[in-house]
Amino acid sequence: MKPDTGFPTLADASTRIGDGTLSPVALTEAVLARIERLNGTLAAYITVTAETALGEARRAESEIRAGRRIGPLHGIPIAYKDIYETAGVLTSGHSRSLVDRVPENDAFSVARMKAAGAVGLGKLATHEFAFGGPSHDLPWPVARNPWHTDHFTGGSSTGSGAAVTAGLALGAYGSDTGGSIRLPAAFSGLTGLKPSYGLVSRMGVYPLAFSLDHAGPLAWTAQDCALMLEVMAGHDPADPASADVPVPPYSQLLERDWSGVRIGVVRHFWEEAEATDETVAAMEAALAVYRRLGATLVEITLPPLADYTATCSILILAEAAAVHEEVLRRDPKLLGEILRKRLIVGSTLSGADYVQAMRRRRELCDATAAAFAEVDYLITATTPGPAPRIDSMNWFYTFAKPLLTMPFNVTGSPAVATRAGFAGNGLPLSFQIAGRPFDDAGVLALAHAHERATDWIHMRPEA
Amino acid sequence: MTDAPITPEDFVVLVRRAGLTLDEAQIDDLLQAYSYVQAMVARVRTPRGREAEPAHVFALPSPGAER
Repeated sequence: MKPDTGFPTLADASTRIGDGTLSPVALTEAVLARIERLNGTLAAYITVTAETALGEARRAESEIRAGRRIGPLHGIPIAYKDIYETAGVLTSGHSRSLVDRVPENDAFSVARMKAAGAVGLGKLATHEFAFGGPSHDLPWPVARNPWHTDHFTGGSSTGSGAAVTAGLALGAYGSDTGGSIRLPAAFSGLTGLKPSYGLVSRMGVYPLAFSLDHAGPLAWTAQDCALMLEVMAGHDPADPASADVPVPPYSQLLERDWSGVRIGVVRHFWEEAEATDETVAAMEAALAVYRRLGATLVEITLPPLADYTATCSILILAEAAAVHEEVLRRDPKLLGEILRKRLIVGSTLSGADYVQAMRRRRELCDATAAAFAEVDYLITATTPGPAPRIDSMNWFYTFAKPLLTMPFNVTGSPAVATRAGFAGNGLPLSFQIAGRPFDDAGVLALAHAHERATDWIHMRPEA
Repeated sequence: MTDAPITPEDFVVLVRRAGLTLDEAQIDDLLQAYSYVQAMVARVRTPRGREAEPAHVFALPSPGAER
């Protein structure tokens, strides 16, 4: 690990493009050069659209010079998880079953990013269909953690985590059904936002579990995520879960006075998850920062973490089994071994199992809403410790240990993960903040406040 | 519900009901993890009345009530 190498955050690059001191073409060329140099090791990208990206960068530069800047994302190089449909570009889901799939249309949120003038660098590695991984029997390799390439990036948005951390994109699209934005944010040392359910359209994003799927950004900072969310969010009549709510200027709502704000500390979650001593210490340090900022910290007890994770896991298993039932029955060899095993397990669940999980979900949502009557935000760890070694992981690791991220998929709450420091082995640690439905601005602002009060965002992996 | 681990024979029945066919080695491999799934299935069955509604069932306001 070393201090910031000068590689810009998305917000910094946007400011410099705006004042004419950074060229979108030069920036895109620099990022493509890093992809050329590092992707062979990190396997962050499945597809790199270098020529298209350079063309978009040239067009952006020309428009900006002519005084036609669209907004802060104009000329910014970003990349998409390979479950987002992209017109004319392979969208494989990291699966042999879609190895030739080239969609005709963009996902709703991709179209919005293109309309905002962003430069599309390509498509990023993922667990197969955001569920099966890390898998070594797929047409593309497993993405590697830039802090230590023997370690997991966090999944399922594996390439998104690796790419942004290594400076192979300034921001990336991820998806989060049980933690798949926040887990790579945690293990790869980034900020990742799972927006409120319904805030970002799922149209054109391959489903994992309809009732839990969230599309959202991963980036270096909360400010970067806020800038991306301003573009990604918005009502989409084509997505039945899309909420018709205002989209505020998130990046302009980051600076706040935190005195009097009540933050509920869900300590029993990280205790149940058997957090390491280093994580516990990092959590105490994060709490101390918020205390210094003037917030009031309140210990909160929610239902057991295992109840949230059992509910979330059953819903994911059952919904995913339905999504992939046809190919699983017809030609299971088209799917990787880990995805296949998880889908088979999901296929054995009964209709009553699913409905009981949905009934438990309602109870858990009610309990969480009651907590939000007492406090404005909830804080807990994102993971029990740093990223594990890839070779230590088995296919059922998500069943064997409760995931700290799942409670906020069950409730649909906005939840952001950001850095809490580093473990002794040099790998990042992380905490998450959740808020009331559609208070995405608030959780981003809290993460931003911590990032400004600490030095963690200034540390980059050796590259 | 029972806390007992599922037998290979009973697991095969569930797999067949799902329209799938597995060999013995695959069954053994999946059974390694199935106890975790059984525990999760048991955990979502907290005591509740017949009337308990699932999530995603919406209560509409009464006619004339403020929205």
